[in-house]
Amino acid sequence: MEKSAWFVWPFMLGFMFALAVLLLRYLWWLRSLLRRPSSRLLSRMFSKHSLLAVREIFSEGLLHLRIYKRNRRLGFMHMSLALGWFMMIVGGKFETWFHSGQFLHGTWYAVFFRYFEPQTVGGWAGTFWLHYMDFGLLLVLTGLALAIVKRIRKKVLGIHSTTRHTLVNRVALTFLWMIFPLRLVAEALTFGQHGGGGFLTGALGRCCFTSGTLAGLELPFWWAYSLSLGAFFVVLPFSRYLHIPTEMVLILLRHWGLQAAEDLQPEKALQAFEIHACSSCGLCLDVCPAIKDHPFQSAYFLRALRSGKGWESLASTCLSCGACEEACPINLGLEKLRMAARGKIHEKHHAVYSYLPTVGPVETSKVDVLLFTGCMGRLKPATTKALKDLFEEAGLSWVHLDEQESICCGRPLALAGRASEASALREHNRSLIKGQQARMLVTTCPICLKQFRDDYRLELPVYHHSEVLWSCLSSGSLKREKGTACFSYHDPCELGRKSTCYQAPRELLQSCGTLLSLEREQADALCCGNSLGSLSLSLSERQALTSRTLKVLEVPGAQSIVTSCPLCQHNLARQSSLPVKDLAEVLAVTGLPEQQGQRKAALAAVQEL
Amino acid sequence: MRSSEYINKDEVAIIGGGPAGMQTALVLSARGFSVRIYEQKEQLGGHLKGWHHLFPHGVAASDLLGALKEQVLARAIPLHLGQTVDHLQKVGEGWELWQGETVVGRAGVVVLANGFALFDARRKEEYGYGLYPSVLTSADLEAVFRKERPWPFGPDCAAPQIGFVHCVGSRDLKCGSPHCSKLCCVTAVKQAMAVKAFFPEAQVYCFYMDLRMHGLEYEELYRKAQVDYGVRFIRGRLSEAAPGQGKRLHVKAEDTLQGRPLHLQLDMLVLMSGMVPTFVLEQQERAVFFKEPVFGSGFVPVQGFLAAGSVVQQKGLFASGACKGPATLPEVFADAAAVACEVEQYLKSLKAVAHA
Ligand SMILES: Cc1cc2nc3c(=O)[nH]c(=O)nc-3n(C[C@H](O)[C@H](O)[C@H](O)COP(=O)(O)OP(=O)(O)OC[C@H]3O[C@@H](n4cnc5c(N)ncnc54)[C@H](O)[C@@H]3O)c2cc1C
Ligand code: SF4
Ligand code: SF4
Ligand code: SF4
Ligand code: SF4
Repeated sequence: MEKSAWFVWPFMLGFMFALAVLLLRYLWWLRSLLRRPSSRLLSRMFSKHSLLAVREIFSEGLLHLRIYKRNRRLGFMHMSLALGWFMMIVGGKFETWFHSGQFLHGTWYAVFFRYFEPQTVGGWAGTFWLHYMDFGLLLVLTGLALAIVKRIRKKVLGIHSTTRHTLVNRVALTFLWMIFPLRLVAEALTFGQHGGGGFLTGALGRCCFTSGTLAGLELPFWWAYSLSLGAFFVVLPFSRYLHIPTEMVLILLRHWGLQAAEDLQPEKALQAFEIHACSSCGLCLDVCPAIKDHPFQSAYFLRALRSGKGWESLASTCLSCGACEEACPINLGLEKLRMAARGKIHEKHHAVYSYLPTVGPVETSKVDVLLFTGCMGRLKPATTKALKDLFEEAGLSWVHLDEQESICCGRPLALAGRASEASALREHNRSLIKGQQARMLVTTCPICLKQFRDDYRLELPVYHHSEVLWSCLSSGSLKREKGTACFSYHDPCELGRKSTCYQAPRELLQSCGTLLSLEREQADALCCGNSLGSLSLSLSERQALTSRTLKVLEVPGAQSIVTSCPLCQHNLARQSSLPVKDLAEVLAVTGLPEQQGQRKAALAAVQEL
Repeated sequence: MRSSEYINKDEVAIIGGGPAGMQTALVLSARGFSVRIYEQKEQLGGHLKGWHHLFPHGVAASDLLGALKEQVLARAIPLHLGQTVDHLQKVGEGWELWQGETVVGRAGVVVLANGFALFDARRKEEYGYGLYPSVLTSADLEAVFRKERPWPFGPDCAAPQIGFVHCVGSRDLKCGSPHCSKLCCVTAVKQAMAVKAFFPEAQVYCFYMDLRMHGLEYEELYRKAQVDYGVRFIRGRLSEAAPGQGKRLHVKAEDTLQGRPLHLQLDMLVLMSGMVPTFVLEQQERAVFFKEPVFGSGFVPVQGFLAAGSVVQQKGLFASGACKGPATLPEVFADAAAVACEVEQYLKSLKAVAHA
């Protein structure tokens, strides 16, 4: 068929431009790796890891299963857009191959195939490809319709917040939204004029576009289709749509064992891929406890990092509660990135701590438990006391490492991005702990727990007191009977999402009373508002967050709120109308039924005297 | 519909039989109005009945209370003791006083004199109140002076080390009490001197943020405490109290004037608990409920700016004394007289309308 093919040029130019820019950017990001490829990376490249990566690219880049699991409608939107487009690309290749018997063609040939070959022949197989391609197009158009609905009425898609876009992203979005409707009309016009087509384009052509007067519109629509494709490709490398190819490369690199750097390098190695792989899907928005007050959520933080402007305040206001990292379908290492950013902010500050007295080692003896209650534990002496009583009851011996003097575990400094100071503190604590002969280190502070577990490389195991108490209960060294008390339990961010400890506290509470279920709990729990993670949130903003969290906790029937972090407890107790207790306190007062009896008898005897 | 006929428009009901309630009642009664006092406890006196002696001159609290009670008795002011009013219902121009499901009184005018509550020091757990027996509140110490409870250290301790912590639950945004309780500074000075009088060998420290000696002769008292009694004033907030050697407390603070951390072993720690509201008013249509305060609740709001007693948005409802915010006894008495005047004006204005 002899037809003018000039109109394919806008697409071709745009496509080649995008390809060239992408290639250059990726090579630039990978520059250090290309210079010195690690042997580990090379060995992983040619192993099952690459196959696993392909599987993940398929399930996440195309099917978007993680988004689907969190929100079906939103997942379906992403899936239909990506899968539909992917189907069309693959289908186009096969169809042209099938039709021409030749595998290699110019890229444009498959994209504009219908224009050149409207009446595909080839029996049932040709018909199959026609319908298959129409199905792909229908899928994309469905996704598109949902995307438009999402912009207008986000509730329909089960979300409360969508990301607000910058100009370049809005331009890219407009071109993207134009591409597929234009293709539909262009194909329908061609089929209307020349016959043929699948169940969608063919049918549309037959019912609307057979009139000869419309013949003049055919070529302009193909031009428009090509132009919008080309324009989209030109803006792609500078818009959020860069995430489409970047996510795929990121998945590969991760499977090949690459890890994000500790310091901020937004244009280098894995970090660059992470920052640019965010699709602005917005899943991190709804889960954020501060969404009503602040636009610092990860989607915006990453965007600020991409543009290089304004990321500082976004990095330091966030509560580091971990909810967005939990929700992110691409599993971006958001907290690590934020800490890297904070480190960069504080790069030039040099604090001197030499004036602080150093803490000498505590007496050593062979004990079961080395107890560390941390600075926050000092705010809650009742918890420490209760825990010691429980240890006594369970027959565990202990040494309280920071009973008189204390030094911080280092996590607050780490959260503030002061990595080197934090590591100096850790070094000191490590030597103190090494001098002890205990079977395990137990802490009442989940903030310390995380620090000890992740960054100390200790020889002895580290537990949160809830875990130890639960094991005492299961082994029978502690016994409790179910009472009538009704609790609602607050999951501390650092114990829940950050250390995935959800079960032990719940088992403990269920052993002595009834645990009520909440609207948001476990991985979805809200932050208490007082997280050490935020460096710049004001008191009134924190208090607003706290009262929101308390609304979730103050369910009908709850007699007390229980938590397992001294900081959460301290913070919730100030604003709560219900008493707020630590797990250890609850367990200590419940006591053994017969012991309670004994106590009563003793009291009665005293009163008689 | 109940008619307002059965309410005696001239009668004034006073809720609270503390210094403010008694004094308001006395002034009104002297000016010829019929008043009644509703008090939730079995005795009159409010917080005053728990105090030992009063700043700045050391008058015995029981003397002052005795004199007040005597006058109330002499004027035969009807007393409704043991009655906790929990809400008011508007009927016509007047009010019904309710306790739960029953009406306990009716009056044309109601004066709130419910006073204040002490900040629950257990909320500052780091100071160990309720956890360690040697941590007391200022009110507990008054009870010790009154011999209603023992000293927290044994008789063998002749030179006890004693600390006073200012601003516990006051000037503390995080606790939802941003206000200064304004009389705990001078109370600490008064109590520190009293402790030194009991135990001349004692070492007494006051940990303060800044000292607010606003009243007549308070500053002089503060000077006396330093010069004559050797009380040591340390500017800095206490960070925590922990178990120390033996039965002692280990206390950590920072001396912000000298810029160095302090560690002390104490035999007794006294927390100057702040004054907080006893209730919040929940104003509904033609009813006022007295509700448990929540985080950040304020005192009873009154109209106008200076020395006003008329409760915001409610005609015929007044407030007197410390229920409007921290006040010393001289202030409470002055305020009571002013509120009584306002009540008189109000009743007269009603009469004028009725005549016209
Ligand atoms: C530690 C301490 C020491 C002090 N020492 C001094 C001092 O030396 N000199 C000085 O000038 N001032 C002193 N004060 C201040 C003094 O105590 C107050 O100014 C005074 O008590 C205020 O009187 P009031 O009547 O307004 O309140 P309150 O004394 O609190 O009396 C209120 C009364 O209302 C009653 N009531 C409350 N609610 C209801 C209800 N719903 N129904 C019925 N009755 C109700 C209460 O039972 C109580 O009897 C001190 C305060 C503190 C905290
Ligand atoms: S950070 Fe993750 S969850 Fe948030 S918008 Fe980006 S991809 Fe989505
Ligand atoms: S870490 Fe928590 S507070 Fe910070 S952006 Fe994520 S969800 Fe919001
Ligand atoms: S993490 Fe928190 S509680 Fe634990 S030692 Fe450090 S500052 Fe203290
Ligand atoms: S009077 Fe003194 S102790 Fe009391 S709140 Fe004010 S400053 Fe603090």
